Amino acid sequence: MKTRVTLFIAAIAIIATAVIGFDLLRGQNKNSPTTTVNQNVSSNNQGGKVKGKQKTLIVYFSRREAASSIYKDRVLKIGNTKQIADMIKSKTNGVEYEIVPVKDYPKSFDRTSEVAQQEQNDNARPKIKNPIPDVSQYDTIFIGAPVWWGDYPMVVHTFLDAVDLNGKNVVPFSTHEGSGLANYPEVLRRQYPKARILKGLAIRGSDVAYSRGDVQGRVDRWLTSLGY
Amino acid sequence: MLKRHEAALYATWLIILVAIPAPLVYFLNQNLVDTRQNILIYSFGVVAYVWWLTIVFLSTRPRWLDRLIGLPSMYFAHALLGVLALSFATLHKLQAFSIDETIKNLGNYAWYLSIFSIAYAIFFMSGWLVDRMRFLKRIKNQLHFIFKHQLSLWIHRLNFVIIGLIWLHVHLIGRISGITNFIIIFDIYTIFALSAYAWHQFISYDQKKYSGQVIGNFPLDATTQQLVIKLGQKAADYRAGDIFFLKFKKNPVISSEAHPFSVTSSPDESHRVVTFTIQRLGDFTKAINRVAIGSDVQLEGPFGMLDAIVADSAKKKQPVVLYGLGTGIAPLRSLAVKYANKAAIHVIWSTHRNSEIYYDEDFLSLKNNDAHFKYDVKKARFAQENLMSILDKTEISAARFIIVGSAAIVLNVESNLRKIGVAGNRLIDERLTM
Repeated sequence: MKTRVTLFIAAIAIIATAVIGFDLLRGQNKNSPTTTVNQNVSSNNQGGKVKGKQKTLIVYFSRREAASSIYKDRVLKIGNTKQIADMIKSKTNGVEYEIVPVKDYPKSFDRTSEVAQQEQNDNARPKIKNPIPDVSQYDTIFIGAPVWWGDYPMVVHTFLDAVDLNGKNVVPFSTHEGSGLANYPEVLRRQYPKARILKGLAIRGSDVAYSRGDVQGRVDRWLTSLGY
Repeated sequence: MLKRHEAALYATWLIILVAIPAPLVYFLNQNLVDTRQNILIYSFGVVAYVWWLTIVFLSTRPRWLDRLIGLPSMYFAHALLGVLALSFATLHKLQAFSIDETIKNLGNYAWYLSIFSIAYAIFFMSGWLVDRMRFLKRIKNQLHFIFKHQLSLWIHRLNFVIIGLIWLHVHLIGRISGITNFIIIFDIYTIFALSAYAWHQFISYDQKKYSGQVIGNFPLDATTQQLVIKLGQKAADYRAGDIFFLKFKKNPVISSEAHPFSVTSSPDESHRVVTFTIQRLGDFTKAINRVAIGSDVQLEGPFGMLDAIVADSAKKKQPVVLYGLGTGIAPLRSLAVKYANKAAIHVIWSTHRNSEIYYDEDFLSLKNNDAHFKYDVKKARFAQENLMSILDKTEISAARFIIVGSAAIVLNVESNLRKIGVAGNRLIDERLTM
């Protein structure tokens, strides 16, 4: 009986050590974005409208090829997120900036999804190929991307780390297949506690790809509600 | 219920519902960057999982918890938590989103299995429906030929598959498994609950304190068996009316699953020898008469609070009515023997047949030796008018009633007692769901 008890306790101790050790190792490998961002969040920095004549920058990250690989009967000429960015640009007379990674993502959605998760697990900051714009010239910055694993793609985090948007109007938008805006407002709120995070817009990627659900009308109504 | 037990019961529920899930919900809220709505949706899933683990832990029947809240309350918590966990899991499932097929499927499979597992347990293993609706009881009895108790236990163990699926589901979500303090507590909870179960199933029964030996096994009537067991030297002392789970390991004549039985003997008669009265109804009990004298038996327990309840009444000089239905008389005989001459005891015994009154002489003897001891036996149920005639006014207005027997009949008896003026808070029962 004593041997069995000893073996039982030893087995549990080994399993517990292995599992918790794995958890700790994973935690060390991942300098989690969830724990490194500024936690001093003001709760009064969401909603409202842009005021007066605004200089607007539309920052977006779009993956035409990966999105195309989902829709078997359709090849996209323009990525879904870029289409939304273009609609915002035409209504706001803003300036577009596309985040282009140095290392391109795979063309298939599934492979992109795997890479995206790995980047998220590693809290990676993939490099951006094109120069970061001088955001100080703008009053309002729209930041849009497809939702990857409930978050902005990590290359967008690279952009967010590179600029200071405190004191500005910041507006999230996303294309998704069910995640809505995911954590976008919260990410921006924590990253820029002194920014005014305005009401964001989430559009299903498939609505954009198949021109369903009056996407243009929804974007226009949203921008109107923001004061444009 | 005793005040101390009532307080312990509230505290236990508070700990289970709030304190145990709280660290995980806290760390998720602190560390996950997401909208409040999404964090709430994820928290529903986390809380459901923690309750699922708690269900497993409660199934190990910790004796310290039995002494605080009693075995029936523990079983009730075990069952109700299953329903609550499924409700929270449903809120999570209907509102959470993942584009990843594996994560989504693991969560979905766990949810489908949970629905099946809980529906099965409610119908076949609890008395929630069958004890209250006769047609469902009939259906259950007809299906019992296929879904025997042994099979039901294995189906109930699908809960471990559910736990495995949810564990993987959470670990595959990088944003959540990457929160170190959250995932460590999540894994500690999981390891603790599963280890407690493994210990209970594979180790605990072999402890010397659980050992015993069959020293008597004889029929009391055509369907009732009396089993006499000599407790091992290290066995804990039992109290009147307690319950032991009997397990016959490696005995070819009977299943090795543990089954609960109330003691019939009183520790005052012999604290090292314990007697059980077993009605031969199910797969396990039908084989009990074939267990040979000298067989080893393991006894988990003792559990129970009936002794403490009657002791409380005796202290307060409150009369106690012990109402037995068929073999439900077993723990009541134990209590009657212990508390005759110490409290105002009234034994009421309702049987199916005359041959079933195997303890008649014992009760008559107690009555002869104690002027306050009352005893009524009947080969049928006591109708309301019978109860009015055998219970005196003090008993109706002040006595504590302990009713033991088949669940459906216990509910019927309690209804009759309420109708003649017995307050519901003085009714305590032990229901045997067949």
